Amino acid sequence: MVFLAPLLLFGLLAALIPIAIHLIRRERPPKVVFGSIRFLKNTPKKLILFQHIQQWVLLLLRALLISLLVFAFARPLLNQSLAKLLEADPQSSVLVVDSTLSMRYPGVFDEAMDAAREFLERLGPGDEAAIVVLNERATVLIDFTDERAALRRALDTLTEPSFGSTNLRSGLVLADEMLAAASFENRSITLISDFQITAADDLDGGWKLARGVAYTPVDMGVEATQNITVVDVRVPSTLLEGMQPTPVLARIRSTGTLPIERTQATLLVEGEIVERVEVELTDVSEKVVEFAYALTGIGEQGIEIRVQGDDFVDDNSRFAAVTIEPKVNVLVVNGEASSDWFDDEAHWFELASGGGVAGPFSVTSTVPNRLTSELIQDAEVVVLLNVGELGLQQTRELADFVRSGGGLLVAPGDQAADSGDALDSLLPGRLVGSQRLRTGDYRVIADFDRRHPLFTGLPVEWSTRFQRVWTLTPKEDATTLMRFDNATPALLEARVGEGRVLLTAMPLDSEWGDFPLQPLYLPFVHETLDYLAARPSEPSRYLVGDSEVVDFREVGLSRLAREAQAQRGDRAQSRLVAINADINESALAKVPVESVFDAIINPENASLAPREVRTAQRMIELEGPQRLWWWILSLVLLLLLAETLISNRTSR
Amino acid sequence: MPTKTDTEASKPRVPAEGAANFLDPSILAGIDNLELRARVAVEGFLSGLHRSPHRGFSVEFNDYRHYQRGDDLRHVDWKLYARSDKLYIKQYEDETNTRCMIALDTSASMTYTSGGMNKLDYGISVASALAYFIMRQRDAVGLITFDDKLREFLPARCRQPHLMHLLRLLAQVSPGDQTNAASPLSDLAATLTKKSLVLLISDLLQGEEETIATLRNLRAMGHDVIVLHVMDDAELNFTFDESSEFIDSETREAFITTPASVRAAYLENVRAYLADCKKQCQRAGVDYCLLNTAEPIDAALSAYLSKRARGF
Repeated sequence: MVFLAPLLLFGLLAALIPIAIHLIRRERPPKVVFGSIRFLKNTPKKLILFQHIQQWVLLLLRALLISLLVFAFARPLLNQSLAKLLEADPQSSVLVVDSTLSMRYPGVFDEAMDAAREFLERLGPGDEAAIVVLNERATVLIDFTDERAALRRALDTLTEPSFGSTNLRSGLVLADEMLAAASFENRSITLISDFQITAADDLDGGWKLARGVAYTPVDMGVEATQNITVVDVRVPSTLLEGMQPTPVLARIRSTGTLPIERTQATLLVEGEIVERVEVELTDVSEKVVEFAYALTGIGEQGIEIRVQGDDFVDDNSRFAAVTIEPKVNVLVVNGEASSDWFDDEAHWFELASGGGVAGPFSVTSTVPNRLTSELIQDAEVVVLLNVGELGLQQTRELADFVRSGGGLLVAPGDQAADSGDALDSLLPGRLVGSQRLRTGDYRVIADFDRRHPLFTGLPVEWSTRFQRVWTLTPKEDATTLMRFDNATPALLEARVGEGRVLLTAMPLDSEWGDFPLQPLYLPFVHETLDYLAARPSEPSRYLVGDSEVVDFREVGLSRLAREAQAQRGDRAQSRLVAINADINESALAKVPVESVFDAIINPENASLAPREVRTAQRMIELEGPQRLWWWILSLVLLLLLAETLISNRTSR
Repeated sequence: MPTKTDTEASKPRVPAEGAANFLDPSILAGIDNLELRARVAVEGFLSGLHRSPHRGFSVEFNDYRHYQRGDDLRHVDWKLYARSDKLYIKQYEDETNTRCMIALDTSASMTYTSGGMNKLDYGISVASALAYFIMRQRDAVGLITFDDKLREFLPARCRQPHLMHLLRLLAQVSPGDQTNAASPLSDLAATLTKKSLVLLISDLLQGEEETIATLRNLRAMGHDVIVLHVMDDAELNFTFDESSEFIDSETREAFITTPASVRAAYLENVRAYLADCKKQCQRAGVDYCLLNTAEPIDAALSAYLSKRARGF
């Protein structure tokens, strides 16, 4: 037990007062000359003995009363540790340890850990502390505790820094929020960091530490650093089989405070070194390097660009994942095939789609009566160009093809008839007739859905003129993607099962208009076939700490499970992704510690209550739940009643 | 205030109307002249007797004498005056030849007081009032004072100068030492040749058994005896609060105690003592009257009157 007002314990001397009175009064009792003491002498002996006992009990009671009163006013506390807290002016501290990539610079993290241990050693008795670690994000390593051993054990779990990027604000905000619920008024944050220059970018937003929170920076940064890093790798994440070779580009940059004049950049594909390039950085701090190696084959390939020649090796590699995909199989059903190109319905379309030579599409042409089940199954997209009526079996197989995820483009021409055949059930609209406009009159595209994926990559201006078009009546589940100037649909879309169906109001040759002659034709064809093929386009590059690759803590190439598996089963269950570090972590220049201090410290700290006031408040907070004085005073009251009863029976 | 216990002395006494003020010991104590004190007490007492069942007692007619100036006209025989045309005064003879001896204890214990009149003064007041009253009834009254031995002796007389002598003697009484009433009372008994009324005024704190035994002897000799047991209120009710050293006024023996712790036992002892005194007196045929010095002295006069009315 300890006392919040120990000086009042001197009042215990007052307990001697009744003893002194007892001794003094015993020596000089008042004398009373009485008529006769014969009646007193005859009182029983036990009365006299009891009287003596009562007197001693009274004496003890009175001394005890005074002592208890003194104890009550001295404000006792039962908890020894709490008392120590008061004596030591305990504080709640949060240690924020920067454990991001920049801390992997040689020697920095070891010194940071030494500083952290030194911080724990400096904790006073009763102090409570918590540790926050800045990895990819700020996390609580251990919550507030006054057990140093637990704090040390938690700190020892930090064996090496992560590959995450520094965000001092997130750590400081987390620490500040923790301190809001801390036990003590004396609160502080100690930040151990290398104060890498981009780490404090978010601190300019006006955010301040809470009032009363002290801030102590521990600078672990190295003044003279040499670092060279690959800040970017440029290579398409998806390549198509048979396309022109795409060079791999890399940006090499010197990011230390001391320049590096030359280095060697190495290209590794699937872990094998395939090319080395000497990089000269004498006059510049950054240089773009082009590798001549051509990626071949089909499938996913991991690429690593590696540099060397500096002290900081953990940011010397940058990775990329490239997928080389096969061409899109397009089956063109030509409803009006001709040996003359100008009469052939598919002439312009095959030209636009590459015709199977160098484009991204592998086009197979057939005519309606040769449309077989095998051809349909091999295709990803089926294009019906001015096709008349199909057989029932062909229609059924087309329907199955679409429902299982295939794409169907229907461009009716003069061979097509008004709706009524079996194919109508697949189409998003009905054909209700077509008329050739008068000479000099034409239809133009007046409006289209600019937010649709099909049109996001296409020019806005459409100058195509049509002298004849089909009048389409959209079905209920159809979407009108494009309209003519008379407001009738020009392009309808509907989803059938897993697949997509597009229906145009005009053929894709030059018979009813000049569409194939327009510059818009080729991108329209490509975008339409890409859209109908519906190949997934998923990102292949992430930074450490991104939510989608949160389980991967290191940089490199990893396989990431696909979120949505393709229903057709011909897609891989996982995809290769590249996980790189934030390039900001490679910038080893330091932000001035003072600027961070000025940015976050609360200007109202100066008006904090003085320590005496805070101590008094703390005392009240600690004392409140116990209220020992209340119990003692209650006991005093009871003893006072007992003393009154006994003294009334004995003496006054 | 101390609580009175259930003793005889605590029983309420109702003095006659108009007499209470003159019988109050606190008032009597303020009157230095003993004769005046006795007169005040007796006249006050008698004035209250008009409505008392003990109204008056007569004396028998003895003779006539000529009227002289100053005689009370109430005693003129008007019938004789009618017949003889002369004024004659009736002369009366005493009804009895009562002889009273007042025995006053003057031992040291009688000097105790818890406030106001001490027991000795109270006894003197009672003795003087009784003497005045007895002389007023034309009875003979005498006095002895004693402690452990006989100090003063005044034989019984019925003349007025004798009263003044007696009162002077009472005024000169000084406290003595220890009490031994048996011896002085035995000496008194030896002097009493006629049937007498012995009034013992004492606190009976020492040797009460021997005293009452002596009184029994007096009773056996044909004398009537009244014991006026004088006790201080503090002695009866032990009205002490503070722990004190109590010193016996006669033996000088000391006893330190806390009143509250022994009060119950003390009061029980006093009650038993008083009951024993009363019981022994009754056995001896002695009238017993407990007097509390804090209360009016009418009890003493009432006791005498009661005895006198019974004609001994």
